[in-house]
Amino acid sequence: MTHFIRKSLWSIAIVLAVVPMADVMAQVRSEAADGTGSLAALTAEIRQLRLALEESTRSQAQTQALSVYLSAQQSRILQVATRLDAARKELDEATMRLSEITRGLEETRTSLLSVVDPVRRQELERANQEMKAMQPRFVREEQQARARESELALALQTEEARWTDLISRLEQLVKK
Amino acid sequence: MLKKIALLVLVTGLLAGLRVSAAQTLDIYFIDVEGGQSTLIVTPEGQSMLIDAGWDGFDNRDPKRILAAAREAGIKRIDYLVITHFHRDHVGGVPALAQQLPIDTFIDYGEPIEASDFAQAGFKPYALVRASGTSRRPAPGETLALRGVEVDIVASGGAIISRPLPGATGAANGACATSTTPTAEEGENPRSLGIRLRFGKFTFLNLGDLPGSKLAALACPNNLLGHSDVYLVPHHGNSDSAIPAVISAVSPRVAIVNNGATKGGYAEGLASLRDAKGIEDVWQLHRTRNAGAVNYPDAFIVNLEEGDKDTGAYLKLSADESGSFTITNGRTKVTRAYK
Repeated sequence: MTHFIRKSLWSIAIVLAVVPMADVMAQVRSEAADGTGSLAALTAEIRQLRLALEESTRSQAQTQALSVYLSAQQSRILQVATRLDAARKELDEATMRLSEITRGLEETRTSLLSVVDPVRRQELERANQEMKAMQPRFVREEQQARARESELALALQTEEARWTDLISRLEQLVKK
Repeated sequence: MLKKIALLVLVTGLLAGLRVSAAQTLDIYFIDVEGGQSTLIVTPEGQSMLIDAGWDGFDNRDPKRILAAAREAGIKRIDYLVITHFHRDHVGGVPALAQQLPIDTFIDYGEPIEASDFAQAGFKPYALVRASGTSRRPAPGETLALRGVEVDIVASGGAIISRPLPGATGAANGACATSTTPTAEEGENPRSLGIRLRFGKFTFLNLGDLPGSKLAALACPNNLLGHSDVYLVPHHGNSDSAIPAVISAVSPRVAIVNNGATKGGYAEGLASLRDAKGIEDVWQLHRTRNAGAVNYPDAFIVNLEEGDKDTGAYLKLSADESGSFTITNGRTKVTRAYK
């Protein structure tokens, strides 16, 4: 994807450089066709060409700077997105553990209502106690994972907003 | 105007590059190989994993069925071939399949210990094909990383995980109290390579033909498996995989039985699923005519016929990251949604 972005940015630079130059060249050709040919007209044409070249150089420099910013911003977005993916996986696992312990507790509670065999009851009570002891840890882990996921989702939103801002600036540059 | 169009095209391209295929599904094709196994998994990014390749013989019936599913999935090669164990109904189809579909990486547990023809006749031709590619022998607890999908190795070569799978609690399983202790088995089945696959919140458990005490050890006394949304019932729904404590540990929403007309899909296996709490549906790859076995309704059976009339349709599951999924019966084309 980096290669694609770099290629795209160079394409933007070429568009930005070539289009104003082409406008000026067309104007120069149009004026030459009038047949004035005076020194004053020639000087004016040279001035126009110089201005166009300066404008083109400025646009190129700005585009190159934006290219660097976009590239850096892309890295930031990818980093945060990777961390967010990991946090979401962690949250999925924590949610699975919590729902499993909740389901297990409900199952043993229901079974204890009907099972009369003392050995089986003892086994069920042992499982029930163990799960009750584990439950607070899984609740805590799930909350922590959820908080981390929210934090990173927000961070990604911020980085994406920066990216959008850079794209808008690029758009403004083209509009000029 | 020209500049605007150029910019729009480029910016759209840049943004598209940042957000890759967010809305695609993980697809699983359960191919009817008449009481063996062949399960084709295709990830949203187009990576493929085939678990077993059915039988050899029968005019290459099973490789042809796998190829049909691969064509439907739009894949032209198998990235990972997982062989659960070396019985002919699981490994037999590999040589013929490999002639039609290139296979990159072979994943198994090495070599069979069984001297029977059922193991050796399948393994020898397979080993020749395996030698032509890359092979791996992952241990329980290891993970195979596909892009966007995680595959946890649960069992392999007779060993099983010693810690709970990610997302499982490892808590005591209350259902063990009501289960009888299964017998220990020998040979290739208890050495099956089993996996648990995760795609976002969606989970799928496929333990090959893991039977009896090895299977039970994953759920008793502590539940090392945890919940899976979809459970491919081990050993084709034979009685040795009908262990209530395991079904309770997995607590699947959907169970799939890869039985044939007379192989797998036995009375006790199907009954154990019927008795389990919380299973929304059970799907069979074939109607069984085993004595005493009660089939599920025809809508939940993929193939009803035998012999020439058997079209060998497959069951297709499509899951998204939220954990919801659909199942389509390849025979009736009817899709059922699990939200």
